[in-house]
Amino acid sequence: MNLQEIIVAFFLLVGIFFIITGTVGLLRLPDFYNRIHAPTKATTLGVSSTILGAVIHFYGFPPADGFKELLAILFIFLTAPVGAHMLAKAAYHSKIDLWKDTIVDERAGKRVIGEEKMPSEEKLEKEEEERTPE
Amino acid sequence: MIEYLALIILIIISLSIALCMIRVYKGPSTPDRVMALDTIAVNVLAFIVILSIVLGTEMFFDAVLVIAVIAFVGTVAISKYLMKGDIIE
Repeated sequence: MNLQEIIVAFFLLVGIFFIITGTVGLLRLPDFYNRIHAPTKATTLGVSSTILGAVIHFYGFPPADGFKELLAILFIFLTAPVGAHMLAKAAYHSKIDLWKDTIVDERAGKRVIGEEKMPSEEKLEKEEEERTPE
Repeated sequence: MIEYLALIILIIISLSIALCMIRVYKGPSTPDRVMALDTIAVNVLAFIVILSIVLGTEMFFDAVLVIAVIAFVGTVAISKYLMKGDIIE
């Protein structure tokens, strides 16, 4: 194994690690808004690493055509966040349910469920007043 | 030597696509399914690139660009349809 093959193998292994991580996250996370993180970030990075490995693998062949794959990497990095953002906006617009343990809905600017789990400030003040006489 | 590693990685990516299909089948809402299909498209990109390593040809590199463009346009179109019920206003 020469140096080129070692570098290609490294990039391919990093790529497949991130791809499988993104897919498992897509399958296991509890909520749509949690789930959209996994393919958008991890899988994009994995595919970019894989393409980089392929470009290095084909470097030195006579046609030397692999450099347009770098364009594909640029395209994926530009379009993945845009697509995910539009999809998340569409999901919020069509009122997909939040996760049951969601605390704050920042877009609506309110606390969703956390009343029981996170006591509000008034409750805390009342408890402090009850404690102080003793 | 690198071809054997590429073959193993091809099998793993096929497994990953199968896992995405589970999400497409289960997914409680439409955006879930759209996102899973987008992930499948991105996995297919990696599949094609590694297949070109296995076969030793650079022929398939154009297909990667085309599939990336089609997946992005499809995701944006379905998102706009979900948001407004209309794609072209």
